[in-house]
Amino acid sequence: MIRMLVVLPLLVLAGTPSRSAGLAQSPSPRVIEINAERFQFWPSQIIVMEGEEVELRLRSDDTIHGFRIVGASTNLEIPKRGHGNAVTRFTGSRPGRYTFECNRLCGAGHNFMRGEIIVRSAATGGTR
Amino acid sequence: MLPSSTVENYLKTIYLGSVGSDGKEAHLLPMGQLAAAVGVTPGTATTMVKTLAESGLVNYEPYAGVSLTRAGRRLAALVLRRHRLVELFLVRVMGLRWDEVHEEAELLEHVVSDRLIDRMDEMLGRPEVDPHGDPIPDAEGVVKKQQAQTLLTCPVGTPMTVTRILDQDKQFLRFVEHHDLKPGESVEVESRDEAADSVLLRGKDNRRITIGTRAASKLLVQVARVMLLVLALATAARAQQANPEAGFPSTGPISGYMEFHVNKADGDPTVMDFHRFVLLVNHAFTSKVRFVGEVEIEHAVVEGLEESGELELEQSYVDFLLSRPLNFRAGMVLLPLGIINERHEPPVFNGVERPFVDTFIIPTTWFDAGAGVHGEIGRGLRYRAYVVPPLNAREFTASEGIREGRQKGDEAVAAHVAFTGRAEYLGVRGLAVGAAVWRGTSQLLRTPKIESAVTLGEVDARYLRSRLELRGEFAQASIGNAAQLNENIGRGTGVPPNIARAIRGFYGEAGYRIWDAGSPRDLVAYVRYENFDTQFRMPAGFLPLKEFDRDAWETGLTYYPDPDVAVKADYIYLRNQSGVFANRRLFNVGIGWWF
Repeated sequence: MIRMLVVLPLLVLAGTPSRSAGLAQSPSPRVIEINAERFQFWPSQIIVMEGEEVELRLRSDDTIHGFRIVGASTNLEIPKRGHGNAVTRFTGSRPGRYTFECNRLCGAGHNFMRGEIIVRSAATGGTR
Repeated sequence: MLPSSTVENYLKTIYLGSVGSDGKEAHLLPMGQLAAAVGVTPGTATTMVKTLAESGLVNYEPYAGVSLTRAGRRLAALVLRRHRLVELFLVRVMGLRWDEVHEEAELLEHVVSDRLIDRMDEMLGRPEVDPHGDPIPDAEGVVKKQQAQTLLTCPVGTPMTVTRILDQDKQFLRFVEHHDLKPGESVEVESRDEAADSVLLRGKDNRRITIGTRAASKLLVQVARVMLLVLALATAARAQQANPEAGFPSTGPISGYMEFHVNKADGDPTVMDFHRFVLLVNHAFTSKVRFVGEVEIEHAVVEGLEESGELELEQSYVDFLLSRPLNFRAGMVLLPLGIINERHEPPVFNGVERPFVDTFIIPTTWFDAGAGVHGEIGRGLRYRAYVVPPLNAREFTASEGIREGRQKGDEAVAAHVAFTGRAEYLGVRGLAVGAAVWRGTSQLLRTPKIESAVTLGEVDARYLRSRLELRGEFAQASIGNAAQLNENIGRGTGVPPNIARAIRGFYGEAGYRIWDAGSPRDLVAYVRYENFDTQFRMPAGFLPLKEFDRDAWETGLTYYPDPDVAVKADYIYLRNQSGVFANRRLFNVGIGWWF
């Protein structure tokens, strides 16, 4: 019964990013520097090829911000200005659009502070 | 192609056999050991290992053994990640005992999707270890290194904390539990007796326990003070466990900002003013439906029917975050006009007080009950558009333009609705350019009914490059039927308010971070010029009051002992065009903070 409880959601969620895609990663991932400030990330749109691993280096120009990729385990705190970077890696396991957002209340316009990672299909040569 | 469960089992077994408890790859795993661990004959294991070697997952050295390649190691770590997260999930969420989850996890580790595992990880608060203390690799397969002291090797007489149980045999786990030696428990080695192959421990409640050296070698420990941190993390993880949408706090901690000012103007006594005390709260009903509220006390004291402080609800809305380009918002909203109205936390602007243009032309803080949409279209182009109540034209004045006409969501009369919208471009690093409009038909509330079409337009820009920050803003508003408003209001009060048919203002500011070594060595100097005229264009029959045609030179310093704390001082030379009223010098110092 317990097994069924856990396995059933698995079947529903079967169309999720492949865990084997990470094998195609390059030894030194492309580095993308992201600035965070009230109330925006720059860049707010990041394009990654399917299977590509990128290193995201996040720096704040003001207060503490959060960095959460919706639907993934990435959930960081970006330290205050002058207190260093937050670094994480992201692998474009499956083509699609992945929203990222600040998840630490940073001021009146906090909910505007969002962006997206676009993972482009390798099969189409990255055209979509 | 996804690896089969057989492949995953081989990789996991090689990983566990060749990687030490400290996370370092120690040695080649002999084929015999691998075959025994997997439960097959050596010949079968060798055939499988050769296949794995051809796939680039293992390095096979005949007569020596097998080790993992980088790709194989990553895959193996991800299998372990699934296994250990499933174990923790079964214990914490489903209430299974820690000695009965291993077998379940052995099966589930091959069928759980990455997405579900990621959700489990979030729900559990991104734990670092499973119920047995085994480290959980992160989503990239990276394993946090652990200290590798056992009860056989740790210092004698030192308080330690159990961190990991290396043997997950059911009977051994029950033995561990029986003696209160589970991860997190405190223990101290009193002595070791090599002749008797035993270790004497002082455990929970100072209870003395003697265990064999073999058992002692399977219990990893850390010095107790390090464990305090681990426990703190575990507490945080438990706190997040109740969160239905992990990764986003369901009810966030209270945030806020405060400003304390000392103002001195020519001819006036010095004023010490706790100008703003603002608290922000937020709540996520789900990850897509969120509430933000902001309550402000201005000037510290709020008393009824007196010209004193204000208690205002400046924001209280629910966002429906549907997609990047289209989201809905409803409630009490900040109107998207100018630089300051939506970005008014004290550390984000220079000057003790907000700019004059953002006070007299754009009536910051401008908020009202309303609803609308917001989102980002394309690369760096954002918009917001709301429908809100119009202004109350009866409150327009010569000195402050439309400022007092804000209805502030206070049973706002909305016989007509107003529209406000903003577009801004953020596509170049350091640059933010925006344009916004507010348009609505304002009324004299109550009788008589005189309608006044008000349109306010503004453009603004901020540019930050290295130590230099530039800001500029231009705003102008037109007020329809200004002559009728003046005549009608004048009939009631005896003095026409001299409302203009147009008000206008602009400013430019340059700030330079003259000390840029990071807080507390963080100092900005700035200079600003403002020009603002609330009598810019007058209706026929009314002359402008030139004392309200003003400009100001302002310079000052902003010091940041912390990025969220701004200590400010400025000097303002405020002029007017009347030729009657004297120009004024203003000195301000203040401190503002955000948390």
